[in-house]
Amino acid sequence: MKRIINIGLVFIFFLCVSVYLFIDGKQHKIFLENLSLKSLKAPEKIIVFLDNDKKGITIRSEKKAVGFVKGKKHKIKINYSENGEKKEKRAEFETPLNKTVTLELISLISEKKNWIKEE
Amino acid sequence: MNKIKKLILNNIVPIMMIIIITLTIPISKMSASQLISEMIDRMSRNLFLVLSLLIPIIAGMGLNFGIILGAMGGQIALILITDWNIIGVQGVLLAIIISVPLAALLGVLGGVVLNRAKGREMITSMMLGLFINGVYQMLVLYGMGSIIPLSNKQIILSRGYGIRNAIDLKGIRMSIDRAWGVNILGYNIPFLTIFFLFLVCIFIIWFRKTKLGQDMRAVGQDMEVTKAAGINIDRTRIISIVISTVLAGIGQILYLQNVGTMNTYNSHEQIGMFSIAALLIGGATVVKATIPNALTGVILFHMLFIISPRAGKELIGSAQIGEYFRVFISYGIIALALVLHQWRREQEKKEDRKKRLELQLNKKIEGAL
Repeated sequence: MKRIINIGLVFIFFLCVSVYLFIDGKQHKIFLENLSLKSLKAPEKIIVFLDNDKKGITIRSEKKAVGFVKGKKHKIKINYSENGEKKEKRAEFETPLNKTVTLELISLISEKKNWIKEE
Repeated sequence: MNKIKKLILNNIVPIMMIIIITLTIPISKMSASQLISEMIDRMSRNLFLVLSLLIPIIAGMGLNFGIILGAMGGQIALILITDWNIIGVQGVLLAIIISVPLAALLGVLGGVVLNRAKGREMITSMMLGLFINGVYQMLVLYGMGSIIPLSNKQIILSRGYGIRNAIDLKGIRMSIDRAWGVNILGYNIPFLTIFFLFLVCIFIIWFRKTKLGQDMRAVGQDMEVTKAAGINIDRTRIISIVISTVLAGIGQILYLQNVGTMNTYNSHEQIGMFSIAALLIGGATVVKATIPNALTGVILFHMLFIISPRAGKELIGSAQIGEYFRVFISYGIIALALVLHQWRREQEKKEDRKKRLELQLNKKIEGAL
């Protein structure tokens, strides 16, 4: 009986570790949109840094791009210019397991709530 | 003089290899830094697989050609994590966790079959590997995507089921090697991989001292005496094969994460031969193998791998000639080691017979007096 319990505990431990690794190691595809909204015009150029990315993704006005992130919780940093002044915006977001995420960068800049769309 | 002769005879394979390599290095015109850099890379790539061969040798089951069973388990795990898009160190660790039960299951099968072929384990494990390879190919070619649901279109054949011939492991490529990677004197040292290797070495040393390890040694030395001592021989032998197969599965994952691409249908096929050749080149025999043997073997075997194509190119103008030479030497070494093993056994039997006859003769003389 003791042996069965031990085997069961080991099994549960590895199951938990596997679930953690699955969530933490899952790569997600993220669509980044630099599209103008009704009242807001998209910046000429936006550079997006996802998590610890040092190179960044450059997106021109009215264009889309694709980025990749690993795990559940992420940080985003965007650099853009407004009226000739360089600005920076930082935010945090989560990616659901089996859904594709689209980030509306203009909404993020204008601090709107729904800047993350899940599909 | 006899001692020197015995020493040379016992280490004939590594001595021959050292002579060949020493002669080939100047011809290849490779610099020391190039050689060291390549060696660090290859050591971390292959040593785990070679170490997986040690435990069945302790149990007297010879060289386990069946490690390809474990390698197949490792590859199935890699296919699954690639399909699920699990990347980085997490991907490799998850693949290791998935591969363990698969390899253990195949190891039990291997152990049961080998128990029915006592004394002919090596050829049986080789044939078993070929048989399971057929099952693996059927599973991967027809089962994956149809019975086992897969969604990643990059790895599935265009017809909708079956896995492509080559899988790009870019998500996990070098992830373990670079995780704790440190640059020392211009060489990238993969500390995490070395840590894994260190762990498996510690495990082997510790395991030899356990009750089960001692049982395995006893089984390897004399099965009849062990049976009389009440040790379950079949169970002990199965455990040794399971450990070897599980370690081989992990070794194959570490090997493929270093390479970065997986040939779905033949990455595992040569693993048995490669690892066994490396171990024998290190001075191991069918009945005795140690961690230093594995370490020396990997260094010598891969040194030959690196320098022979270069030497061939410098000498004749074709790298392929060097590659043929390497294949000839490495597999010739397996044949030589096996012949030497058999020759030694014959010699030992002869000496045994001689001693017994002398003893009988002495007894007769004493009786007559």
